[in-house]
Order: sequence, then C-alpha cells, then structure tokens
Amino acid sequence: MGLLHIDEASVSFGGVRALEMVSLIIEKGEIVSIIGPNGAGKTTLFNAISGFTHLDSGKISFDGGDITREPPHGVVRLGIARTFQNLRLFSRLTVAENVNIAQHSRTRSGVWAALLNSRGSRSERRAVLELTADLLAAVGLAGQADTLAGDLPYGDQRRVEIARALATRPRLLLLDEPAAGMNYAEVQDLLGLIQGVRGRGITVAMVDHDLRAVMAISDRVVVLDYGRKIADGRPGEVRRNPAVLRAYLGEEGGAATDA
Amino acid sequence: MRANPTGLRRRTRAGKVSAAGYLTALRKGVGPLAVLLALTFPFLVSQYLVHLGVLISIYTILTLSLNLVSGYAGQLALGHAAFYALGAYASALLTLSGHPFWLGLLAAGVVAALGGLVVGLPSLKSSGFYLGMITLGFGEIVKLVLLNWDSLTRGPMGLTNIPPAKLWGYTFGSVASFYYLALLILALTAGAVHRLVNSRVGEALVAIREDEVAAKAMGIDTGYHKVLAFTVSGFLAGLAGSLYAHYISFINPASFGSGESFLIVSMTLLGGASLGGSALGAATLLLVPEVFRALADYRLLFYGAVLILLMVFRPNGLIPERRLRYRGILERLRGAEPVSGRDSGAGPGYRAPAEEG
Amino acid sequence: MSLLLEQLVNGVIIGSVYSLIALGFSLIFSILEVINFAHGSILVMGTLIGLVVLQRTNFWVGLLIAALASGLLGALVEKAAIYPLRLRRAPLGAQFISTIGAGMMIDIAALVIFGPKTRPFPPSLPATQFALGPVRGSVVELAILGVSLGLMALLQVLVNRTRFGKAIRATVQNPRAAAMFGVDVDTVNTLTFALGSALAAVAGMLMGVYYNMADLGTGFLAGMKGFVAAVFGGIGSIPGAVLGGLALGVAEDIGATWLSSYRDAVAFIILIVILLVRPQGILGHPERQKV
Ligand SMILES: Nc1ncnc2c1ncn2[C@@H]1O[C@H](COP(=O)(O)OP(=O)(O)OP(=O)(O)O)[C@@H](O)[C@H]1O
Ligand SMILES: [Mg+2]
Repeated sequence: MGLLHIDEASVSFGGVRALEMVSLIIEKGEIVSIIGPNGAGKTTLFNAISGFTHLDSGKISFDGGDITREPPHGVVRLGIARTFQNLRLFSRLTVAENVNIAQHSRTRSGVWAALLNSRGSRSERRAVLELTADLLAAVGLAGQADTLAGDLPYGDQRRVEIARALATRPRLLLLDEPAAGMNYAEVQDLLGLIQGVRGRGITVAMVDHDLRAVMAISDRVVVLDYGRKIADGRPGEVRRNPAVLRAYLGEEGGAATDA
Repeated sequence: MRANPTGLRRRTRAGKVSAAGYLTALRKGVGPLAVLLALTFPFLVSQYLVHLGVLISIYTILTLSLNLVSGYAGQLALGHAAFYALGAYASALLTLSGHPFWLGLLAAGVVAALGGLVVGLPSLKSSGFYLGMITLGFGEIVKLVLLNWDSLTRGPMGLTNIPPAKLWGYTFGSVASFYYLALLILALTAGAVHRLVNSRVGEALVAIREDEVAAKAMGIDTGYHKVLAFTVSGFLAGLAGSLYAHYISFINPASFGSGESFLIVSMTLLGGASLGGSALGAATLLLVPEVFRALADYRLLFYGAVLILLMVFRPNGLIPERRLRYRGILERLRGAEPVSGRDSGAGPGYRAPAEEG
Repeated sequence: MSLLLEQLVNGVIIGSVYSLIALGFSLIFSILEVINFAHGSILVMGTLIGLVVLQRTNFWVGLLIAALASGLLGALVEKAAIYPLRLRRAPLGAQFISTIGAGMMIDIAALVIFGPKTRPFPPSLPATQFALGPVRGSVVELAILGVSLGLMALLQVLVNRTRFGKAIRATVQNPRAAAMFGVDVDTVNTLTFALGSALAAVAGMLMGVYYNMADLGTGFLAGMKGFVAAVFGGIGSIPGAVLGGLALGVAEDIGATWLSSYRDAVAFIILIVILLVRPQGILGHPERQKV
C-alpha cells in the first residue's frame, strides 16, 4: 500500500495540458525523483498534490484518505510539505521566524490562549523553539537564526526552505528543484541532507534537472513529458528507456551516458 | 513590540558597554517614562491638553486596531471609520435607552466585531487595493445606512445627550477622569494586541503579510486568520467608538466618513507596526495641527504630504516592527556551545511521526 | 415614455460620464498597475477651475480649460507622488497610498481656493427639449452623450493610430522591452496620467451641467463610481471601462427605484459583489495565481 496515490490526474490551463492522466504511486520511505523537460508538468504535479492547483479530473489520496479537494493548509496538516521552485521564503523575517511559523499546523494556541498567555501556549512555544533549534542545526544554519532569510546566500536559502518544510512535520516531503542554482559542493551537501531526511522516516519526492544527482540518490525515477508520464522505474532502467532518451535527453541521447 | 518569547531569562553579557548598549538602555527608558508621563498627565498640564490626551488615547486604540489588519496581516483596509461608527452608535443607542455604560462598551465591541467579520470576508477572495476599495465601499455603505435609518439613528441630526460613562457608580464626568478611563482601555487594548501579535496567531498574520502562498504552504489557514484579524480589529475600533460617543456626548454620521478612515490609515502608516509607533502616529497627526495653529485648516494638506513623504522615505513607519532575536535562546535550548557557522547535517532533529495503524 | 425606457436613457447618459472617469482609471492602471486614488480629487479641481472659466466665457472654453488644468495636475501627481516611489521600487500598495496622500492635498487646495460651498452651474447650454420617437431628451443630455462618445472614439484612435498610442501599447505589454526600443517610459507614464486626468475633468464638467452644480463632495463619489465602473468592466480594458460605466449608470438608475435613498450605495454594492464574484470584471481575463 503506497503512501500517496495519484489516479489519472489531469490539469489544463486554457489550452495547455499540464498534466494528462498521470497515475503514480509513492511508497513509504522512498526517494522518488520526477524529471522531465521544461514545461513537462512537474511543478503542476506538486501544486496539485499540495492543494494549490485543482485537478480537472482524477484523484489523489494520501495514506488512504482522499485529498483531491483538500486546501493547502489541510494538506500540510495531513503531513505533506513542499518547497517552491522559485524560493518563497519570508525573506524579510529571520531564519528562526521562518521555521517557527512553519510549525503552525502542529500547534494549537488560538486567540484566547494568546490573550491569556496561558501555560499551554507558553510550553507550546518552548517546544516550537526546540524543534527550530534542532532543525536549524540539522541543516547547518544554527548560527544564522537571526539573519533575515532574504540576506542569506542562495544555497542557504534553499536549506531554510527545507528546514521550514520539515518543521511542518511531514511524512511526505515534496522538493521542487532543491539543487537549482547550487554549485557542486552544495549539491553534495544537499544530497546528504536529503538522505538524512529519509533516514528520519520521511518519504521524499523531488523534481530536479541535475540528472547526476537524481540518479545517485533516487530509489525510483518518474519521467513526465508534455504532461504525460512516459517512464517510471529504477534509475538504471529509466536511463536506458528509449522513450526517455528521445523525449527528455534529446535526439542523440548523448547526455544519458554522462549522467 | 518585543517579547521574550519563551519566558526564559536572557543572560546579559558582562563587560563591554557599547554605543548600541546605551541606545538600547535609552530605548528601554522611553517606555516607562512614557507610562509615567501618561499617568501623571492631568496633574501637569491644562485641561485642554488633557482633552487632547483623551483624543490621542482613543486614536491610539484605533491605530492599534488598524495595525492588526494592515500592519501585521498586511491587508489594506480603508473603511476603518465604519467600525468606529458602529461602536459609537451601538454604545450610544444602548445607553440612551437606559442600559448601563459597561453594556454599551461591550456591545460596541461586539457589534463592530461583527462588522469586522463581514468586512473581512471579502479578504478571502480579494487583496491589495481591490480590498482597499471594498473596505472603503463598506465604510460608505455603513455611513449611508446611518444617514438614512432615521428611526434608529436620527439621520444626519445624529444622537445627542449621550450619557457620560459610568462604572461601579462612578461617573467619568470630568475631562481628567475620562482621560484615565480612556487610558485604561488603551492599556488593555495595547496589552491584548501585544500578546496577540507575539503569539502563534500573530505569527500567522505576519506570514500572510509577507507571502500568502508560502503561508498556506506552512499550513496556515490564511482565510480564517484574515477574517479573525478583521474581527478582532473591529472589536477594538468599536471600543474606541464607544469611548468617543460618551466623551463627546454627540455623534452624527459626518464624524465617521472616509476622511476619518484616511486619518486612521495615515496614523497607522506614520507610526509603523508597533505599540510605540501607534501612539506616536496618533499623537503626531493630532498634535501637529494643534501646535501649528496656522496649519489647523490645512490638516489634510499636511496629512497628505505626510503620506507621500512616508511612502517615499520611510514606508515602514517611524517605529517599525522589530525582529525578535532567537539565536541565544535556541542555543540554550539545545544546551550546546554557541554554534558558529555550519555544523554537521546530522542533528537529532525531527523524525516522521510514527504511524497509527 | 415608459419608466424602464426612461431609466435606461438616464442611465446611459450618466453612465457615459462614469465611463469617461473609468477610462482614466483604466488607462493609468494598464500602464502603471496602480489605482490612482487622487482621480476624483483631480476631477473636482479641474471642474471648479473650468466652472470659473465657464462663467466668464462659455461651456466649451470652460471644458477645454478644465481638461488642460486637470491634465497638468495629473502630470504633477505622477511626478510628485508616483515617480519617486517607482525610482525606489516601492511596492504598488505604497504607490496607492501615495496617491491617497496626493488626493488629500488636492482636496484641501480646492477647499482653500474655492471654499466649501456647493457652486451652481449656470445654464450654459440651450435648455431645448426634443423627442425622438418614444425617447425625450434635452440638448444638455445630447451634448453629454456626444462629448463622451466622441472622446471615447478619439481615445481609440489615439491609442491605435498614433505614435503616442503605440508607445502606450508597447509600455503596457512590457515596459522594459519598450524602453529598450526607445520608448521614453517615464514620459509615457506622465502623459498617460495627464490624459486620464483630462478625461476626468471633462466628466466633471459634464456632471456639472447635468446636475447644475459642482462641489467638493462630488469628487470623492465620482472617483469611486469611476473606479467601480472600471472594475465592473475589467480594469485595464478600454471597452471594459466604457461598458462598465454604462452598466453602472443603468444599474444605479434602476436600483434607485428600489432603494431611493441608497442610490449611491448601489455602486458600492456592485463593487463588492463584482470583486467577490468576478474580480476580473465583465471583459477581463481571470488572473492566474502563480505558485
Ligand atoms: N498557473 C498557470 N497558468 C497557465 N499555465 C500554466 C500555469 N502553471 C503551469 N502552466 C503551464 O503548464 C505547463 C507545465 O508547467 P510546469 O510548471 O508544471 O512545468 P515544469 O515541468 O515544472 O517545468 P520547469 O522545469 O520549467 O519548472 C507549462 O506549459 C506551463 O506553461
Ligand atoms: Mg517546475
């Protein structure tokens, strides 16, 4: 029984079919990569799972429950977190604030608790800060807690995004091009971090264009092209899949052996 | 506004006293000094100045209230005078029909909060200047209703002889006594706003202001929180309305037009999203035309110029929201040595929740 | 003349004036993406200046001077309240607030110069009535309709057939690319503000002859209604502004029969409903949320 089931999902924008009858199962504990040329529908797939885009047809279920119509905050509460291809940090807030805010769905204190400064809200606050401290240490940014997120170098901003996503305590983490704009050393760091995340029992689905990285880390690779799923299998199989070579890696497929 | 977010005591670093340290000390001194001044005010100055003190208190409540929606949640609201009006009318009508002041005050808050709820609903689908224009439209509709519902509001004539505020048998008849009442309500409002913005709810509002999409991705029910901000904001503005009605003892729709809304907006923007800023913004815009009497007729000219200059040179206001410092607290919570730079990627951290079934 | 027909005609006449105001909002919005909140204030200032000239000369000279004065004022607002903010890349919200500030200043300037009194508009056009089949009308109404429709046609020609129009269209498409191809975007911004403001003053003068009066309060309401009309039709769209104005005029006249004392609330109710139900307006395209 997979953790996430996507069943014949279709999304179109005006005339553009961003997703067409895509079915996909993500198993517990996997690292799955979703690759495909620009405009293939990868981000749209993540948007659909995370509740930012509605499916025209099809169904998505998570851990047995239907989440097709779930709003984004509901999806987060159920245990799916995401990062954004174009970073969406709260760039004028500090790194620590970014991570604190992300624990919103795991805390409960409302208006009355705040007004009364109740004991519950204070101990909850303490727990929030503890997790923030742990997560910042885990992504190697403990020293930057009070830096404005927007002032960090790009690679570190990506780390904050991951810390922030982890702070929602997901069971499934969706990473949209987490390595974009990183240099080789940073990508290696990131891969270690993603392995670590999986080590904590969190399932990871990621989109990336860095094929070398994708092949190295993934248990499974799913290929989208023009909104359709054209391949799904182990990295080695997908690499040799002729449809993938044609669609994704260009006519000669020369890059495939590089990757 | 600042808080000590955990309640953990902050260790003070011994040794060096820097220029920044003095500045902090000075800033820390300003608060208590302002409180002391506020408390002794009526004994120090003329009745007219105390009267201005009452107005400043009322407008600071309004400014704090608008700050919740605009300063923190980042929603443009241009109809705030409507909540002010709802509170004033609710309280005046109740007390005029013989009910006690405390009930009027409470009802003012509740009625205005309902108004806030209604005005907040459009924020679910609209934002930016569209929301600004919607709220402005709501403000105008409220004013039109007050003007036309003669049987209840006596239309343009307004309500007169509103009884003075009375609590526990004490009548706040004099300017000085009313000043203390206004100050009390202001203090309660400030405390409430302070706690709220430094809470999980306040954090959600700030997240919405900074990036609504990201806020959703963080699990924040943005719609709920926006409407909540409008509702609480309405409640507070309603309290201000009640105070105003019982202080001036006469209200009519003309006191609550769009000009009034823009005045509150100007005060809020001038001051910035902070308690000090709210008071400073309200006081500045009320006092400057008083000090420069020649300006009095040209108030709007002055307000308008202030708005433009602010937007150009200090868009976050005179006393902007301050970022809390967490690093020291986080380090102590981890019980670790102060971390510098990067450490290994293998902290204890969070694990996926164990499955249930 | 049947009541409905009469309402329709009245609605179209006042609606064509709203269209002119809406056109100003839409033009400015399509170029600068900002709502010019000072629009109503600029309208009033131009109208009151035009009224003074009209009293000494005739309606048409007054109309021309009103348009020129407001055009100048609009350019000034752009240079003083928008341009410095754009230089600093201030967010659109800040620019909007800045135009509120400009509006307040213009309001008070108008108050100081012209006083708070409502000013009567002298009868400056022949009061002749005529009948066209079942429709009765007056020369004033004909003039209003003629001027509004004429200006809208002129605007179409200006935008589609002239160099300035080409510069506007290029700037709407993509300001940076336009600048690269030699369009002086700053000047386009200023001139667009001037053009929109001039249209507002014409609308103000037309409302003046229609209602036989002008005062400061009309500016705010006229501005709001123009905005509502612009949003109604789809802000940024020229045909949308025309359509939105006419629709608002008719809706107001029909609405007034149900809610006579709430006539002015009709616009606000429409505004709220339209922004909630179809924020892109009648002719606009839905905006996509970018994630
Ligand atoms: N909100 C939207 N409105 C209109 N079209 C959209 C929208 N989002 C995506 N599209 C279109 O849908 C298609 C798929 O886009 P998507 O962003 O999912 O691709 P992607 O695989 O993530 O590409 P990239 O590698 O460039 O990130 C593209 O043609 C894109 O233009
Ligand atoms: Mg993408």
